[in-house]
Amino acid sequence: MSKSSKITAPDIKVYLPIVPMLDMSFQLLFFFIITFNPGQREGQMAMNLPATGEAKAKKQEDVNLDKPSDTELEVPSDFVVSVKYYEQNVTVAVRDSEKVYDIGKITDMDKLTRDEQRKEVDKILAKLTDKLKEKLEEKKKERKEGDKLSDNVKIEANSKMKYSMLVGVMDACIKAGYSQVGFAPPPDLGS
Amino acid sequence: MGHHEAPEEPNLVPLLDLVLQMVMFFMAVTNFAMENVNESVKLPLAQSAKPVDNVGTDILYVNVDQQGNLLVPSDKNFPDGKIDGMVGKVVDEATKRVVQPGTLNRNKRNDAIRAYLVNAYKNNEIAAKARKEDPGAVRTMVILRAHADADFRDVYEVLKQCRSAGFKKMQLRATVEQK
Repeated sequence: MSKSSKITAPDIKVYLPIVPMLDMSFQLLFFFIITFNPGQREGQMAMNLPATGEAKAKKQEDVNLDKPSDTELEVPSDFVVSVKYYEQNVTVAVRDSEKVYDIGKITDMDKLTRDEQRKEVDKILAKLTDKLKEKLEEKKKERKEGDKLSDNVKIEANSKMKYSMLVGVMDACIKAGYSQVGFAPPPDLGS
Repeated sequence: MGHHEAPEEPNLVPLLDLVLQMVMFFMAVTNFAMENVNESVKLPLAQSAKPVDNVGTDILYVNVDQQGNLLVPSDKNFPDGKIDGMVGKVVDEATKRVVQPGTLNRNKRNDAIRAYLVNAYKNNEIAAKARKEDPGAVRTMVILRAHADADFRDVYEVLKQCRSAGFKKMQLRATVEQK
């Protein structure tokens, strides 16, 4: 009887070093936990850029006389939300071609704490949203069939007004249903 | 003779699985490439701010700080990382620290911001011309991140300069306020 030529391999135990791997994983985990900073959620808001004059024509033949001249810099809009800051008072008003509607006033803004300021601003912005909604509804009713609803609004503010207030006003305009919101140049800035 | 029992060892494999899963999670949510999003800019609150869409690669971040300075951390022309219009400012090149603050000149700052944005537009124009599809048209979106306490005139000036440089698409960033 011939012996079997098959050689069996010696019984080797493969050892997987899990402990150092686990050590390294914990180190990595610790690093990521320490550096993890979810922060506050950032969101986006679309806006209209402030207008500049039409680009100059390259040739004389290209000049379009129907286009507005360079001195008319502002985008036309149906409503202007005016936010004024003077002598520590903030006033908010809406104006159209016919009338000015006072929305509210915050007196002695600088004497209020940040929380109090926030509450007062929120109250005024809620009123502003209601007024703008009302005006938009009126426009919808007045609109003739087939006409496109122009839902643009412009925000006009003093040069020293804080940007957060402006974004608050912009927020109110968007909540009221206006899709086109832009900024007018600060009236006290000069040209 | 009693039978030999193998030494008891804890089963570490599930623990390793779990830890690696957690490592994967933190790696996924950690964003290392956030140099354009400046943490020193405290954004204003807005309820109507929508979650950020994928805006693609044609974007220009414009960060404006509380004093109305334009933050440009990766621009070598401004070693302290901001366009602030300070006349007589001295910056230590090695440490990038301001040795002498100087005095503010708004016109100088506006000119520098204009030059920076015009240059950015030109670079985008070159990139747009080299693009395979729809070459020539600059589709860059300007993303404005301005500090909540910045003055309107400074923010307006930056917006105006963006427009006059040639940028047409614009987006503001705000912190989403819970309703």
